[in-house]
Amino acid sequence: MSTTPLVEFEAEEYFAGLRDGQLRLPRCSKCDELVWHPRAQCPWCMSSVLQYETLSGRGSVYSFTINYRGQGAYADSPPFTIAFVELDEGPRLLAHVTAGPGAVIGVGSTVAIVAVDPDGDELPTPTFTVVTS
Amino acid sequence: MTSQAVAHIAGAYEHPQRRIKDKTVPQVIAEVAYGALQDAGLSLDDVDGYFCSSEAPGLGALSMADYLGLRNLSFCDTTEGGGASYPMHVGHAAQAIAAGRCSVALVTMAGIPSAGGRRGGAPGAEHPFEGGLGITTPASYALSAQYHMHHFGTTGEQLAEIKVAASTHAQYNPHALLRQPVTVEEVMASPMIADPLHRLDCCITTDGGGAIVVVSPEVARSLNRRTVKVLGHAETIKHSMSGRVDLSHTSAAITGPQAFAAAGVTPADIDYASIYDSFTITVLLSLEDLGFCEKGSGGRFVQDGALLAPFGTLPFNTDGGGLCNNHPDFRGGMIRTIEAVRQLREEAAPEVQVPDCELAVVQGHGGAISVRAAGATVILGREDV
Repeated sequence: MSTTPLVEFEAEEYFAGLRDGQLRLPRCSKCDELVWHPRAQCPWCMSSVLQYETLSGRGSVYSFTINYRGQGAYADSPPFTIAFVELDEGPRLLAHVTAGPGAVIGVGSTVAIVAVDPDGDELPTPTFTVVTS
Repeated sequence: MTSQAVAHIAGAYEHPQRRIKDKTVPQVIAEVAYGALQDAGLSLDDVDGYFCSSEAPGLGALSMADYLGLRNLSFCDTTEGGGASYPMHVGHAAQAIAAGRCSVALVTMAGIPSAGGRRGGAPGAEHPFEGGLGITTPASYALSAQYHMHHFGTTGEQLAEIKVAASTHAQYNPHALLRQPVTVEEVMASPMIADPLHRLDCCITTDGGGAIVVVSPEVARSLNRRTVKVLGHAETIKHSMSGRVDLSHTSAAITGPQAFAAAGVTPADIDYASIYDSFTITVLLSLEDLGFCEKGSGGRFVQDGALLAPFGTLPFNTDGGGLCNNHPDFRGGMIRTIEAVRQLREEAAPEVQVPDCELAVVQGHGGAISVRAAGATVILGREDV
């Protein structure tokens, strides 16, 4: 998936964080809300003064599905899990979730972010792994 | 009860084909447009309002107005709400008519997805953050289903009842793509697409389309045709709320109460429901959100033949719906509207015609209910209601 011109200047730190295995999101300096997804202005109060914050990288599964029929780049993939991860800090975002041996993904499973560093121009996809089923 | 309506639906036409190989999209749009106008008993020169969405080729409504021969337009609308666009258009047409901006509104949609080809338009702002996930439409709806199962104990078998009901109705529709009734066991045995949605929990993909004609009460009275009253309508966009996404409900929880209030009726008054059935979960959530049952009890509501015509608690999608009849160009809201018009004009298939059908609800959804979706609720009434 190509990067420019889709990525706003202010979202680069979010993607850099994913490569480092960290979740970094902007927080509005005026109303104090975390902004998901990262963007240039606060969608709660319209302020354009946002500061990046490194979050815990931990959350829980709000909902999930195992996708058996992929499309496009995922057309030949084995089944994979997509979830809404509810971060400990509040925001719910779409992500991939993996589970190690013996771990099961379910609503309420606690998860932690993992580093994702794809080749070339491809943007990292937020990926979490199960900590507790 | 005799209620005033600001607008009536006077014409409705569903294209009879489900696979089209030898026609262009504009040609099919013209077939449904002219079919609806002829159904109403109106001419091209009577049309002064035109409504379509991004399925129309060319720039907005410009090309199709030219192709169709609409020469007297004073109102145009190309609202984009995915499959919900056409119920939204019913509401927009009713308001335009009430404001005196037009008196004969033609609403069209058609497509030939089997021919392939990508639709244009730049990706949305969310794309860099979601595009790499490989999330498919079924997966996006499965997220809502999994949530419902976890929090309310809804089962796959309960979801399957929705497909069973649609398939039972489709056997009486000679144009339906899938006319074979299925059982709960067959739905559960069909391949899993995105857990918990099996193939038979997912709507079909068809070519074709439909059109309706919305008119002023004065025009309705002048026609030699039964019309249907537009009694209430509401719309919204429910999205991921900047990280506060809520999977417990759809936009119908917002638009349903508004539309019912505008019409001055309640869910208990409804005789027939046309509910967007992109997936079985879409229907289950809509039934709860519209107020036909409590939040969380949609699974129990759809059991034991509740959705079956003619005598179930709430006969639904009596044409077979998007699950079995028709889902042209990935947008089902027009066909949902058309079947409600049929029911209220007593023109549904005899085996599924609801007796004394006075009031109907049309629920449209567009996009992905779990992520970002448009929604519209329209309350329709029999002409003398």
